Amino acid sequence: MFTEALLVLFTAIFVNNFVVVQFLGLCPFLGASQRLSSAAGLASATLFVLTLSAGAAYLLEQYVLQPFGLTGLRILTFILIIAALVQFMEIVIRATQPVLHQFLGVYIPLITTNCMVLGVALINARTSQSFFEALLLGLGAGLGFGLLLLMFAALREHQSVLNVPKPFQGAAINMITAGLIALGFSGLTAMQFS
Amino acid sequence: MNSNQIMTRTGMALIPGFLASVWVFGLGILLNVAAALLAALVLEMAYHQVRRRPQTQASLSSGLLAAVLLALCLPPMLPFGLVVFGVAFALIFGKFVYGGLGQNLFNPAMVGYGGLILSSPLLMTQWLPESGVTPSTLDLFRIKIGLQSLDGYTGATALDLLRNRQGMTLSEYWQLAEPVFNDQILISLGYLLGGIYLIQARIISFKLPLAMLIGLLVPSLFLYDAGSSSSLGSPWLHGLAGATMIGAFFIITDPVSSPNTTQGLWIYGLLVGGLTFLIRGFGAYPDGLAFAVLLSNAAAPLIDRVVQLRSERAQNR
Repeated sequence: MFTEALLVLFTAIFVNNFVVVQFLGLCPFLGASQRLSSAAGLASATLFVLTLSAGAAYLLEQYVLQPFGLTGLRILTFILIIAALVQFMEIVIRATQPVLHQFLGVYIPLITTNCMVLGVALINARTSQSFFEALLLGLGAGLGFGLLLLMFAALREHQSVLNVPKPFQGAAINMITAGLIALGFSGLTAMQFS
Repeated sequence: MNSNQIMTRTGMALIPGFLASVWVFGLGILLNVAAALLAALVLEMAYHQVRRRPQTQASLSSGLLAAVLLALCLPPMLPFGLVVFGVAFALIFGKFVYGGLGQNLFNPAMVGYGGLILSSPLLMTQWLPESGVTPSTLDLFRIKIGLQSLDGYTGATALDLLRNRQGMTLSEYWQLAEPVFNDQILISLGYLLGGIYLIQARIISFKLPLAMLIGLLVPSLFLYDAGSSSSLGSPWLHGLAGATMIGAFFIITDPVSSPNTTQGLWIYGLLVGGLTFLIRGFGAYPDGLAFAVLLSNAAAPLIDRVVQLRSERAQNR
């Protein structure tokens, strides 16, 4: 049981990484990675939302949408859950950690529009075998996203002192760096542990 | 010692391994290295023309060194076009777009290898393992310029066998892998010799090779069960097969793309070794060193930052 859980986590973080293998959540990956400190805040906020929304989406799918034949409402209801969770988290952060709230600013509401959150909820609702597995997949997706975001932010901070040729400065070099990270992750594809 | 001298000596230290490769795999390796050197020379000159910067000796020799390192990792029968493509991919996306010498985030040689193995995985994993079956020189040239297919000449390397069988029993090792693997040992010992010279001459530190070998060999020691059907290869096999030795002494020791802190270096080396073992044992590719290096390059700045933050916190206390 414990090893299986670890394997599900490892697979979600490294083998099927949602950012560089499945190419979801690229907007915050490229947009919110200028500085390591803000990237760390966003990564933990996204981790929280992802885990809970993945679990909630699974419960909704299994106990409401499928029994009543309402699967057409999947996207609508999932977005509702995600938006409610993000709002809830913003209220909590504002009340308990005003400094972090000021720091993250607009990025907290923007978690709602992270396509990866909806993507994980949708994939999860169909493929997961149990509530526990759904939570684990959400957690793994969040950890994988956070790891990539932190790695990329540190690379970008390092990159900002490099002597990059003019035509490649800015978005172009970021895309190339992101592509080379994805090249590295492609070596982990199709990993099997059996 | 300036960086140009360092790179010249690193190139000289590659000679024993290079000679062993030519001895085992034949003329193909020599042709690969020559083609890669030529391509790198042209690309470096073109780059400095485009950027209107004077060509420095150090930039040129680092480009040539990256090209040679890439060429030494390529199979002997790879067509010339792919060798040139690999060198171009390595230098353009690994070095030039970041601003040239000393600016790269990723190891250029491994960027080129990654681009090649993703674009033509079949040709990139076709080796000539037994010294007996080398094609005639004419056939070799025909293969290299793409006039002839290389069917009938290639065979599985020891790591291919490990990959295809999801493990290797002891009898499989002695019957199939051992004859193939014997040749490889010679090459690996050549690189080991060069590596020891580099450490002696204080060009590289012993930390990174040692950390990588620990990261690779300790897991294989614990997961090796003396050859059941699910055995993942002994430390002996992992240490001397594939790109382990050239990787440990020549590739991961690139000072630009590895961390700057001492603690970071240990973490980085362990990470490369561990990832190589994971990909060899469970992944889709027979040798995972290139991917392990690229992933660790991507993690290197983060490792440095974490180490710095921790030491700052320890000082404040």
